[in-house]
Amino acid sequence: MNFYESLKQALESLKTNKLRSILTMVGIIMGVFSVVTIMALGSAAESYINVQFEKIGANIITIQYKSDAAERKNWLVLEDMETIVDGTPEVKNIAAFIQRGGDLRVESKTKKAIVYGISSQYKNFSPIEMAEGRFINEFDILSRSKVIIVDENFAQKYFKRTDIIGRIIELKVSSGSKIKVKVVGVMKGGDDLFSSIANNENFPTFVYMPITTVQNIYYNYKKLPSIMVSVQQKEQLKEIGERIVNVLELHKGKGDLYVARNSVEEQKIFSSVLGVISAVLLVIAVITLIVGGIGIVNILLVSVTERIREIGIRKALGAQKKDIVLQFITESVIMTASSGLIGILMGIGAGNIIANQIKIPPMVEYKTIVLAFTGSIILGLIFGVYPAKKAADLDPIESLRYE
Amino acid sequence: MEQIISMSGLGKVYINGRLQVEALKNLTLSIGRGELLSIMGPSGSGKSTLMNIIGCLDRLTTGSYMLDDVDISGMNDNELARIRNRKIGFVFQSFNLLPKKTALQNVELPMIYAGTGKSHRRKKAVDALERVGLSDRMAHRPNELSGGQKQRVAIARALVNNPSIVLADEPTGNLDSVSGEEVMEVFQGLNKEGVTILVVTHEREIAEHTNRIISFRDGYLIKDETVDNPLDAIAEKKKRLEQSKAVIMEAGEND
Ligand SMILES: Nc1ncnc2c1ncn2[C@@H]1O[C@H](COP(=O)(O)OP(=O)(O)OP(=O)(O)O)[C@@H](O)[C@H]1O
Ligand SMILES: [Mg+2]
Repeated sequence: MNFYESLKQALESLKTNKLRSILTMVGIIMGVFSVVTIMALGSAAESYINVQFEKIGANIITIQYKSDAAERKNWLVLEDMETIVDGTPEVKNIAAFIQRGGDLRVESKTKKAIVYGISSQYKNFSPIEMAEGRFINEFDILSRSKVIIVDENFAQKYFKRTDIIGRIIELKVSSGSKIKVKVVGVMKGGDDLFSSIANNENFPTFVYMPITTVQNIYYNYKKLPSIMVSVQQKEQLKEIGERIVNVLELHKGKGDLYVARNSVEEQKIFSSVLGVISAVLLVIAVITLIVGGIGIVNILLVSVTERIREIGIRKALGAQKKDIVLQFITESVIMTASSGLIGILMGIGAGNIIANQIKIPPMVEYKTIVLAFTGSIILGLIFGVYPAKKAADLDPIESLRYE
Repeated sequence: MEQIISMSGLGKVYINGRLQVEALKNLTLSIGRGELLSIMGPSGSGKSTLMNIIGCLDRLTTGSYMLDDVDISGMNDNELARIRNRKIGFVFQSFNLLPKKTALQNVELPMIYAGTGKSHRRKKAVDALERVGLSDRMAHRPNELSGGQKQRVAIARALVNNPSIVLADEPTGNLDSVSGEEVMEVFQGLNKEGVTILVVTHEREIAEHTNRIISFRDGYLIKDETVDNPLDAIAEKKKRLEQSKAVIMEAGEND
């Protein structure tokens, strides 16, 4: 029997048990779908992170504490930024920020907010697009001015418009004290997935204020969590970082206080964490696929039992073992291959939706599709072997007598 | 006469655990080309066992079996399947048609395994169905056919690869007497065209349609007789139809 004939036979037999075949295929469809989607998601996240790192620039060094329990005199403070600039000619920009929680009150309405107290060069590290007004400047920092930057979505929601420069908002901090701040700028609201999450009702809004003002209202707390430095060149980030640490430690008169991390290293860490997560998810998806495959083995075994007599007839008419094997394996492969196709299409669909949401090009790779499809066919072969062998080994006389 | 089948000292033992059944004992038998013969014997006497061995579905235990001058005993499963496909045509008591396929598709089946091309296959299947008088039932599925028609589809299927011998194990066992005569009519017609046919039956009357009757008991061949004037199936069928008409009329008069 040639391949075309067994293809026809297999299709006919699947058609007679349509519902059963479809239900069996669902397992494989879900398995392939998850594999494709997870691989797409992995590369999506990777390219998203790459894009974000590119926006910031790949030449950033972050100075952090070596241990959590730094003594007060070893805290990083705003003045240390000058020390760094003086001691390191390569520094292009330098910034620090602190992050606190609070409530914004507009008339009778309250919105939870995360308050970023930032230094003047902060916007060189985290790209911020303005819709109205200006960003926080050097003068705001020096004079501890009570100004605030909110985003478009917040403005729209609480003022019904975005040009709200000069409007006064009340900020209530966790200690209970309140201050009135003036809006001097409105940022553009992003349109990617993460911004839409951030727009959620229960999600706090992000606002920016001068770091000095924030330190003032929150207990005058001087400690900076870190200092960010950007340099001109991309090379030798590690060496420059180590030098900055040296400069600071010399200034404090004590060694072993700080570490320098750079964005290249961070990107590597992100990527490897992402890789581990993808790998774990992939293992789960493959397990789904195997469970789906066991479903196929199961249904083919049922099919063999139902067709014992048919197999007997075919053998009496001259079917060889390989003909029977081919017939059942073809059935199995048709099921897994078409499930694979459906799963891939669904995966591409899901991949496109995700890509659309986080504004990156669709990333179900050609490689993934080919891999998933050939994988499905191979699974069909593997799962078909046992039932097919069982069918082919049936004794013709007993099969013909089987009721 | 040219020998199609020649067996000598053939024995078949079934072993089920500690139980041994000697189904055929020291059988020597020859069948010539163009014969129409029948096998009779009580239940369990070894008739089906012999058919299965002749048909290469089963292997002999002792002795020798030559089919078309070829020794079958040393062949492997694939070679036996090939022999079944090319040289044997099976007709079963329970028809054994594939229920989801049409008469035509059922008849095409042996040619699929023979590797016959599609158009040639179709033509030969149509021819075979014409030979058994079913050219108007080709697109019907088995459940749309009478028992007699089903058995004729099965005969067409058995014929289609031009086998050396057609083996029919109680082909009339599931049929009424008129349909049984129809089957024998087809066999007699085919035999006139030169087809060798071997029929197993319990009924003496069916056996008397053939030219030679072989009887078995307890695995032994006990009688090998020639029938001088075999019954003619066409005449017998007519007789039966008249009989059944008479029965119906009688029943009508009694009302
Ligand atoms: N697979 C088997 N295993 C064991 N014994 C078997 C097997 N097949 C047949 N037999 C035995 O072999 C003997 C011959 O059986 P066979 O089927 O040839 O009889 P038969 O003449 O065809 O009977 P019937 O007229 O009832 O069909 C019987 O005793 C039977 O029980
Ligand atoms: Mg029998």
